[in-house]
Amino acid sequence: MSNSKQVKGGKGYLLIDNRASGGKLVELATLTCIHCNTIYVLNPERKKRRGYCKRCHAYICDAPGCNFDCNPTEECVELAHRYNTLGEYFLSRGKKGEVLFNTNLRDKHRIH
Amino acid sequence: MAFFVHGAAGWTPVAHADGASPANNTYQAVRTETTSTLRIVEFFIGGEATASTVNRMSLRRLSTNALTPTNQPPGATNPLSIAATSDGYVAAATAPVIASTQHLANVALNTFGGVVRWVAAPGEEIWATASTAPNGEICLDSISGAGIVSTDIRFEEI
Repeated sequence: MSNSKQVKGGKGYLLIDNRASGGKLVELATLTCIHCNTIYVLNPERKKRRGYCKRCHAYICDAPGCNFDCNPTEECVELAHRYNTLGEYFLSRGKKGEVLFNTNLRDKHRIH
Repeated sequence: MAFFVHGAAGWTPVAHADGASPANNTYQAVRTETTSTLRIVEFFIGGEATASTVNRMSLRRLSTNALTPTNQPPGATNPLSIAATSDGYVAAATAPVIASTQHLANVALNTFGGVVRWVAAPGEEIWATASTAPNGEICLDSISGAGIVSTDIRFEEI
């Protein structure tokens, strides 16, 4: 991530210390996908270009749903507040990162 | 805004698949109120098993909130902070249901002294809001393994 100063994401921290049971101490960088709000460990050996959302200007995970459409978590939080009685899955995503809520609710409040 | 910590000391996880209703004291959950929003900035898992036991721990949303949870007010990290609106809990009159959606995090550790600590970078927190399921509550529990652990969830209330 050579341009990580500009692009949001990928700066979380995960420590796993298994030394007491004969394992290792590992410290890893994590990315919280700006779309699905899921934590991913960044593979330092990765060669493939990391997913990026130009609308959010942030890194995203590899889930197809996150790469297909832009549904930022913060927008979903706002929707969850506005429509909190509907029981829609605003903040959750399916196993492939797909949105599970009625996107008409979202589109009603988008300017473009 | 103010930061709070909810801790659950010395609990024995039970492996829960998606869609399960966890029994009391086999999970740790945080819940928002209608007027509150929280974002998790850190979680910590410390293993306390007396023999090698690998746990796969998961942070997941709840598709059905617990009914009459035994609220445990989280502690403010700054003594000058007002009390939190959100709560933590480990038991309820009717158990919550774990959502069968994407997991927010999966981490594995050997609970024979193992430690896991995740810290969010600013802007990379895990959100929950507005009380109503499935957006208002998050639980930390095991998908596999039953080694005893103590856990902390630190969150910012907005």
